[in-house]
Amino acid sequence: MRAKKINENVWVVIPAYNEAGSIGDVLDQFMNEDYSVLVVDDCSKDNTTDIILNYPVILLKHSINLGQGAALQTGFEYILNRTDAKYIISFDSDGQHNIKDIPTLLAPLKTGDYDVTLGSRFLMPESVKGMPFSKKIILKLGVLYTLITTRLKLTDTHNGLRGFSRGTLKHINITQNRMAHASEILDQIAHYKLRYCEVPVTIQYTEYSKKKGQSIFNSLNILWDLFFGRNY
Amino acid sequence: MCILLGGIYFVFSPQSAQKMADLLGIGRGVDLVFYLFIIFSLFYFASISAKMRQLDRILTKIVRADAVENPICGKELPSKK
Repeated sequence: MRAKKINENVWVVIPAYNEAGSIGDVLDQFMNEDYSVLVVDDCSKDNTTDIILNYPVILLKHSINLGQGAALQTGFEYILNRTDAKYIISFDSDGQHNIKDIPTLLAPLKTGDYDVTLGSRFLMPESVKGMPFSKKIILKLGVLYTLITTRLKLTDTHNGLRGFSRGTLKHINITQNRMAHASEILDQIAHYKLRYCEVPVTIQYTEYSKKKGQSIFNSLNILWDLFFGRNY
Repeated sequence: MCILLGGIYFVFSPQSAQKMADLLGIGRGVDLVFYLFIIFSLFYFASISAKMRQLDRILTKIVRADAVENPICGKELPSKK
């Protein structure tokens, strides 16, 4: 099998923790595309790492479990310091995201008019079908929270599909290791007045990913973390 | 240490706790000791919390540096630095 052609311009960061059930399918998507892929394994206890190493990707490993926010930041730091990436995409490892949305994320960045692109499932009707009602409520509350705290008018504030240009990523410094990082990123976008836009993306709800979704108690944890965490 | 000495003092001289309580308008000397204990405990929890967050940050820094310094290449990828 010939070696994969590497596109140094677009790097995709995939944080992963115990995703042996889905990481193979996720990385399969990237086999026929020429994005550079960086997977950050957050100290998985299953054989996620073994599966990852079957693919032409770069793997970074956390020696202890720190959280998705931390894994993302580790990926960002590696990419900024060790690659020539012009655009950086964050992508989830649980199979909810579709590689076909990456060009949608890149397009506004390539025009130079935007610094950040944020995926929104609510801009794509097919993504909203089949969404559990409780999930919808939690996400809408997230939107309200973001509106109140940052004045950002978004439709989806907890979507792991995001695009950044290289210069923009230097402003992003995720200090919230766990799930509060999503709100922290938005906070920093508002704080540094980055030019952002939302783009419609598909979210695929499978039984597997539904099990791993956020509970309402997690939302309370996130609020607590944000209250004590802000230090930039 | 001060808290400990203060506590020991109040044990051996309950009247002084009562005198202080009267000054502050609190019912019993014992109540004063309890209130002081609660206030002290809250401050202590807050400072432990802050310390834990600091340790978290330090730990993250170390683990991240180790991860970034040691990338692993998957199959079919030419060796990258």
